[in-house]
Amino acid sequence: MFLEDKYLYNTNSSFLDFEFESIGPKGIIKKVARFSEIGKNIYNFGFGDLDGATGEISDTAVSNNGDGDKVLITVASIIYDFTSIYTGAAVFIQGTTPARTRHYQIGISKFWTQINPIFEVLGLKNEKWEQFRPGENYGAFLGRRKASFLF
Amino acid sequence: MSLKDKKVSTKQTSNKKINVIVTDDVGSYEKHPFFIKKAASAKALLLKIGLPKQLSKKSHA
Repeated sequence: MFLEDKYLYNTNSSFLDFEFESIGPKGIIKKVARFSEIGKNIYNFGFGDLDGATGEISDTAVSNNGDGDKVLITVASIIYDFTSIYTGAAVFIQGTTPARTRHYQIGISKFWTQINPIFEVLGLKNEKWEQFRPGENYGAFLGRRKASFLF
Repeated sequence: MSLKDKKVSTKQTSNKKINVIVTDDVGSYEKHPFFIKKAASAKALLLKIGLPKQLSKKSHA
């Protein structure tokens, strides 16, 4: 899954917290992700840049570190590994801003041929969930492993 | 489920390849305001919108 170039990432024994470093012209930017349980077997995927000096995390700033696709692939791989451990879990994704949500949408569409065989993905449109279709605009996403890939 | 019993390997074994390094160096962000806020926002949205039928069922289809 996701054979493209991606960053190596770390997690702890809970497999709920993930960290990796984005390396590019802007230097090293620490990326952190957390799966927060928000319902029975439903987790919110949070992701952002960690400011080492203040401890603050933000997903509204555009890093522009020249590795956008690599970061997206790394995020996808993190979600894949999380759902390998938390089998049956549904993952909810929404950016803090519409622009950030669209960034996720572009990523899902871009790698759809790899995502679709393994994940069932729904998109939120007009306050209703529907099967995700590349090229359509959605306000949030909900995904989980397809039954045949639950192990 | 004991996560400590889970094998973590960067080698490919059958269809389950995990590329992550498990380390105590990664702390818990459970109490970080950013993730608390994001989770609360997500929860509020789902309460308002509701879950899709597929997830409302108790068992997988």
